[in-house]
Amino acid sequence: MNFFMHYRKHILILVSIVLLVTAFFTYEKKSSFTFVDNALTFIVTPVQDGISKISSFFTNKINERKLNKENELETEDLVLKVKELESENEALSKKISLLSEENDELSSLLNIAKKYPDFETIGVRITAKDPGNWYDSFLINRGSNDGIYSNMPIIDSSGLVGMITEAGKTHSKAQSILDSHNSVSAVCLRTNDTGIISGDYTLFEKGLCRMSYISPTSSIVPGDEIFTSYLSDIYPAGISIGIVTEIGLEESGLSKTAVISPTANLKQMDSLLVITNYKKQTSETSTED
Amino acid sequence: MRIIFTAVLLVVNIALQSTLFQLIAIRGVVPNTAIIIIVSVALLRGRFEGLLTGFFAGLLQDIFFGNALFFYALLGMLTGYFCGGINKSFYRENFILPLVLCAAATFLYNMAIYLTSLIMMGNINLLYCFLNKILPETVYTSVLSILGYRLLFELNEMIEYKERFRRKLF
Repeated sequence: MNFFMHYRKHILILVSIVLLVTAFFTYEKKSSFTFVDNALTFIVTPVQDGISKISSFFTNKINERKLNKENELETEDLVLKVKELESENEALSKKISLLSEENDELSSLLNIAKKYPDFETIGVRITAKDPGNWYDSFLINRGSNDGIYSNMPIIDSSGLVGMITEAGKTHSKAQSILDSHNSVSAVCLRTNDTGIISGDYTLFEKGLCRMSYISPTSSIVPGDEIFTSYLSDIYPAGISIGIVTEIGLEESGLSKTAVISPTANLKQMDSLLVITNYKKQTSETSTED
Repeated sequence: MRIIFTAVLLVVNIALQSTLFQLIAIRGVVPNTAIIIIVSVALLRGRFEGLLTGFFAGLLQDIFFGNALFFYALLGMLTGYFCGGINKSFYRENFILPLVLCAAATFLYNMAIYLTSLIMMGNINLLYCFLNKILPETVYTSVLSILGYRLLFELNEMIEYKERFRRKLF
């Protein structure tokens, strides 16, 4: 013990360096849980599950209360609105028939209509979120026992959410598109402009992300919808990511950037879908390392 | 006894931090209760226990949410070590010092995260991060530390009392 006390500073520095080096080499390299990780999830996740279930129960109760009050006020307004909308509806239904013809043509071009129903999905629930304020990763309640491996895309009913980064036996770690580690190759179908969507520190808290490397000559405007492109190995093409809210020119002037508001509700995520059959390679590569 | 107690405390803390504390976030900023525990244990029990608590608290966060193994463990370890250094030179009943130390620790902890992000990814605005992430978290955590330290102080007294009792028996 005397030895330790005498050389404690040297030992501390040595241990720090060893830890720093391992941290550097494991940075974003892990794709599946180790034995220790799985053992720890076995201890910690039941607690997390319990707490998140209890807390979601109470938030649901509170939200219900709020909604009930709001609903009573709203119904009066709504009755009036219904009459207005009925008249509008007739005009619009004529337009829709025209647009649906156009839509059929376009989607057959893009093969979206074909691809969407083919996805095999597993429903998952979020059990815990990153306690830090820098990144947006979370744990979900399914793992490799249910056929979930790293690099599988996660969606919700309206759009892209993120991807699995590490898969454990019963739980896995995932990253949303708001996380600055994540980047998605994206395309604007209206103008055919491609770009990269990634999380941004300054937009993260507002629930927005940034699309960069858009061609400076592109005619992209706020309101355009952005989809995943066919260039990605991880994300299947044609999943809605978000809607452009702001356009800017990069400082260098060589490309445009856009602020994207995701279509998926990323601030109040609860249950999500994991696409399991997009690429067969994902399961093979993840078992290798 | 003490080891089991601290382990349970850390597990419950990571579970609470990742679930319930998301609900008490102010402007999207969640208080870092792990730092409160590390600082309190270091102040009450000294360097070595502060170091161990910091290491394991960080390790839990690394495993569940980190991008690199041992990164948060290293930060927690150093926090525990340096806060434990002044364990002998002040009265435990002093409730201002933990607050100041928590603020300093949270600030340095976040600056370390900022610097590593800068090295790994680049192009991050320091002023924005400082005003919107580091400062709110520092203030929130140090305010909560008054409560947290008080709680851990009482628990520590309780355990120490029991340990004294046991030693007398044998």
